Amino acid sequence: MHETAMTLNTTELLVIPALPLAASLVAGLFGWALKERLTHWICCLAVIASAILSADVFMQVQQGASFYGNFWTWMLSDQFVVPVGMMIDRLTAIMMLTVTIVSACVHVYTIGYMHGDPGYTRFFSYISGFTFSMLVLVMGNNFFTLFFGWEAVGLVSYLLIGFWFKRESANFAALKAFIVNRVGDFGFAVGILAIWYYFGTIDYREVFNQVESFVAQGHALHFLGWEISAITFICLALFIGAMGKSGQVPLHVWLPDSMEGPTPISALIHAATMVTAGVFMVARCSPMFEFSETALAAVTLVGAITAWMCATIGLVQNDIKRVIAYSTCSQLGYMFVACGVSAYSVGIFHLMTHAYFKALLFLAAGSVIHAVLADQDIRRMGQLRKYMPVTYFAMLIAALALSGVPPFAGFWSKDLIIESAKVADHLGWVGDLAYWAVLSGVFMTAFYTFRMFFLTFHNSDRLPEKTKAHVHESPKVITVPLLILSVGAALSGWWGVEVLDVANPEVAEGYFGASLFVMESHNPLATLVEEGHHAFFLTAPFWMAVGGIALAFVMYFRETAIPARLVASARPLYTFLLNKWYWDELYERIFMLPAQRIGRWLWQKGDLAIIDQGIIHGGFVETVKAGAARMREMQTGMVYHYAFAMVIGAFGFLTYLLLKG
Amino acid sequence: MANVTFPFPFPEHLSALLPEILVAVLAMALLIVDLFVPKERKALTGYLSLATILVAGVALMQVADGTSVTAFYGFFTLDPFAVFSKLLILAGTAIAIIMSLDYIRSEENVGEYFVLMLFAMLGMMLLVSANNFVTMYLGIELMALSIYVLVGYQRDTLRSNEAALKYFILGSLSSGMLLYGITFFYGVTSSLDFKQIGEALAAAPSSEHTAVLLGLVFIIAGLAFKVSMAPFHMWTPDAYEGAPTPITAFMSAAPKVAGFVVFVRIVADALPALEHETVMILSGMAVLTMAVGNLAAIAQRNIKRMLAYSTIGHVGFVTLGLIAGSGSGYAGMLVYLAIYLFMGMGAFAVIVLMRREGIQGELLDDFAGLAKVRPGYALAMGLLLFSLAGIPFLGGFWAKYAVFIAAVQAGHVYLVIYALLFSVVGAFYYIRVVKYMYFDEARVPFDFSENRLMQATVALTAMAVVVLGIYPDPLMELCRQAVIGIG
Amino acid sequence: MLETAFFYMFGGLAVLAATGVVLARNTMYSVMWLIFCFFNAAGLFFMLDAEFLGIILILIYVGAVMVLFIFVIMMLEINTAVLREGFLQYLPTGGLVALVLLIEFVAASRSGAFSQGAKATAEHFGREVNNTVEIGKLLYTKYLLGFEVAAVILLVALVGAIVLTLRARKDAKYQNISAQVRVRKEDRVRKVRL
Repeated sequence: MHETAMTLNTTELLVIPALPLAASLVAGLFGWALKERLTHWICCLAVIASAILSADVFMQVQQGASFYGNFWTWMLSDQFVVPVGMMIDRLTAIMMLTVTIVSACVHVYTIGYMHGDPGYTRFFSYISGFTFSMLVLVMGNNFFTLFFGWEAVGLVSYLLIGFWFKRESANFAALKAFIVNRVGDFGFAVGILAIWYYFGTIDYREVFNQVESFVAQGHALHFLGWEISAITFICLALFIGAMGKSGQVPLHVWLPDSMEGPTPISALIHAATMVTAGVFMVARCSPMFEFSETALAAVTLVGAITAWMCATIGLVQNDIKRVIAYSTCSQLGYMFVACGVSAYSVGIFHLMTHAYFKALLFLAAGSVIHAVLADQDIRRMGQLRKYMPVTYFAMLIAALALSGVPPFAGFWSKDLIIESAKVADHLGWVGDLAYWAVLSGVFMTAFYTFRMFFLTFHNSDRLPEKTKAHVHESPKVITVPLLILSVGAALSGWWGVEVLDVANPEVAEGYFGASLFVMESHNPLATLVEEGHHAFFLTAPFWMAVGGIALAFVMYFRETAIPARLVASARPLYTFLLNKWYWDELYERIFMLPAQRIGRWLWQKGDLAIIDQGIIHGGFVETVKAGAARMREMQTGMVYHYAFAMVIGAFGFLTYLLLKG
Repeated sequence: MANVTFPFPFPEHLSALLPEILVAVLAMALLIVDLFVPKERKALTGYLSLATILVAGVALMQVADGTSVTAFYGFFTLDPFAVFSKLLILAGTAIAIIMSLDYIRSEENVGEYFVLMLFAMLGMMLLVSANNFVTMYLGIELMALSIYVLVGYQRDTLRSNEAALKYFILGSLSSGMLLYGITFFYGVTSSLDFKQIGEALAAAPSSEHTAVLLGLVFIIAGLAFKVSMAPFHMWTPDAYEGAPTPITAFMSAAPKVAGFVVFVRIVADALPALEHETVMILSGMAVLTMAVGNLAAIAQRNIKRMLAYSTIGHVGFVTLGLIAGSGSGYAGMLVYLAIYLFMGMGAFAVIVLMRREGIQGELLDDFAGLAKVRPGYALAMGLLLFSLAGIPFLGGFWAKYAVFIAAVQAGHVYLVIYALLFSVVGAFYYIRVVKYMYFDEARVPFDFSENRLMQATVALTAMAVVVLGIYPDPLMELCRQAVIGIG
Repeated sequence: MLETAFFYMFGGLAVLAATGVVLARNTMYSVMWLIFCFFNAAGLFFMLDAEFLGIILILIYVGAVMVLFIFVIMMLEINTAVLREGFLQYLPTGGLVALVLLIEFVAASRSGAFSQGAKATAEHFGREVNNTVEIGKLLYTKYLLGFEVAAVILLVALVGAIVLTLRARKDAKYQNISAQVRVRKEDRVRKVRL
């Protein structure tokens, strides 16, 4: 494709994030006055307009347009320049499109889902604010805007997980998300500071242009006797941030708990967009990661482990949202595997398809939850197909897409990931491990998805009586977004491969053009073509998916007695999986309890003994208080005292100066 | 100063004084117009004085061309520094007049009130354009005399009378000190012009050192009184408490701008030869000022008094820029004064809005539960207070940042550490008010002023601290430009 | 020699008079001391060939300002005993500070240019000039800005004084002449049908 020097319209680009921001501010500040109707109109229209503009930008970018520029300098401290600017290329455009479309659907959906909630306007303010933050994250042209967006989406995520702040579990989940993300963000911040330290700039373009010569200079760090090259250090630090944000083992524990938030949020933030920021970041930094094979191997390894482990946990969960949440972790693992084996285009492609079908899955699940009086346990559902045909249809498409059944979206992207992992020989055993992990993951994914699907919509009718009287199809504002997303979940895979050509072995010639960078020496897509692997259908992943669905069909549709027997025969394994590999307990042991102990010790010894007793009661506060009282006494109100103070002042300074010299 | 011959040439660059001339003429005209304004519509005079300020502002922008000109045989100078500070003074006066519109309604002689504010403003405008002691002294007196009267405007309130009298007596004493110091400088250098004095002092023989030092101490003392530096600050809390609240707001911002600007001119132009001694005196005063301001504020129950001490504390921080004695220090002072003008006056505006029947919302307890009654006011006040406390990223943070960095660059690290310590102490009493507003139950029912202009002012100042907090660079750049050529 | 003697006489008497202002128990005596002080200061002006300033000092300060002072003091009754409370209490500290300050002032004024008396005297000293004309020329030319500002200051003082004192007392009865003139018969006369 020819890159013509077309520049995008600056105003249009600024308007795209500005609209949701304005809507968020209006909803947040004046929501109480606007009442519900006006608020949701403002927010929905703003985000829909933003989506339309994003689509326009996307089309222009496809024609070869791009944008790069700084708007203003936010901060200037010596050489540390923090500009605020945008870099719009093909990677950004596809992210913008995905984010705004899913966000628009979720906005509309929210009208129905949150109806009557006391925090209605607050909720709209948050999700519009989230859309703004996410757009800043993807549209920025330097690591600072990335970091700003990164933290902003984290903040909104925290606020939304704890949205129902009267629920204790919601508060804990919000805290957990925040704290775990802090660990990741620390790594991320270290990475950015390291970039500034080594490159002297935080601008994407300037950094990326310098990478090659920088690597050639062979900078290295010495740490505990290890020598680690600077580029590896930077990449690993950044990746730690990505692990936190994208729920990768061992920082994945917050993501399933984040399901405490309202379901639209689970769809928008904890499935489709925010959690994929890590993948986006790795892809964005492909010019850096490509130069560090160690970092790539780490990315692959972490992704593969997460993909496999979270899939196993998903097999046995009973909370409809948790099943999907573990699936999200697992699918994010797939994306990281793709990035790790240098198939960034495929990773982003999967990000996009996943955004559609996972959002759809969540929204459909939300529709179900809405219908069954906010019960999330799939053991108390069943036969819902009769009551909610539209939701059933949407869920079916989403489930097929997630499982990787052709021609639905997930098949195209997931197949490419698995094929890429297969040929990633340069990563050695990590590549092999990743291949087997993601391949077996497909089977499990298909199984747990359809387990959930059958248990919810088929199987026996296990609804409690009270619920049964209430259950009904959701209103239009809920079903219409489902249908829109269904289109995406069904077609985006085909569209990506056949229309956009995302999987072109020569990345530069495919959709992504110059926005991603892959070294010639390890381009899995090229290898695929060379070795003739590149054939959709009738490959191992396909059969894995079909097998998974078939097994689920047998166990939860036909012979519904099997699961119980299976559980009985493998009780330890079942418990192990049901308890999520005991990650939470492990963390409680090694981090929480010692931290609590240290905290208590610091509180007793530090706060109470030293600060309270020693400093506050023994000195500092007393001194300040005494000083304050002294000052007050000096202010007698007598003019001659005041005058005298002035004379004494002048006298004191004069005498001092004269005596000194 | 040009050698005087007679007949004298027509004053050159007279147009540089256009804003001042306009203010003087319009204020006098207003004095007469006011006679024909019916008593119940006296706010009209207020709006007319706002218009006068607008006219002056427009005129100022017309005559400001980024260069430095002197007019009136070298008795008046107009440079970017003066222009920027005049804009601040105009803005401060305008805000104070807006605050007064409702507040002063119940008083007598309302028309003269606004005219006096215009005259005070005129004094400050002259003050920031002063490049010699004559203009400076006259500017100070014009400003001070108007403010003495304004402080005592509520004649039936004992507190107001007392405040005015104290301020007047002590002000006279400080003027005396200032004049006494000036005579010594005149005696040594035979000049009243800052720059010429600077040159003469640099060349002065060491035998004159004692006389020079005496002049130095008394001049600094006189100026320190005007900007409320300890130990010349004692009038401040009493005068602030007794004055009508809009005047308190006015006094806390605009005269400080004028005082510090002329302080900068004297330090930069007249005292370079005495840099060591100047820095020593100023450091001593800054140390005292920060301590007095921030410590005494803690013990106050009256919010006007608390803000008075807080002003003193901020004056201490601004002094750091003066001590730094560099371009970045002076620019930092301007940044600080500009941001302080907004946040300080904004906080006072909230107090004015809360005037309860007969009593003003001025006890700290009165703020209890404000967040539940008027969340908008509480939010604005909260932002302003956090900004005053210097919480990043609000305007107040950058104000402190600007002067602290300049002081560190000039090598006064210990002073900055000391200042940081006291800004922590300072944060306590600001945040205490926030605590009252958000976490305590309301005790006294309030009726709030519903003046739209006032509400807009509060909203604008609160927004200004937020915007400047997020994006301080244009202001900083503007200040950097303004001090080019100073010092 | 004679000049020096006169200088010390005027100067010394001025200091003495100023001390008297502060120390006098009766306010009226203080005012008298102040007048005496002004006379001596005027004498010093005369010695510097600044006749105009000397005369102005006597005419305006003694002739007008101090007379007003006396009026005001005679109209008010001031209890001097209360004002002087604590005088002895502050005397030691205050006195010490004053003494050291005095020494410093003397040291300062004896240093450098002041001791030579060269710069301190006016340029025209000893020449035949009309003091009043010279001052007038300077005031209306070189010092025009200051002169004008001083005029504004006087205006402010005037306005301020009026603002702080002029008041319509609510407890006193006033005759509103314009209202009386504007009155119509309908307002006052009521026809009563008998």
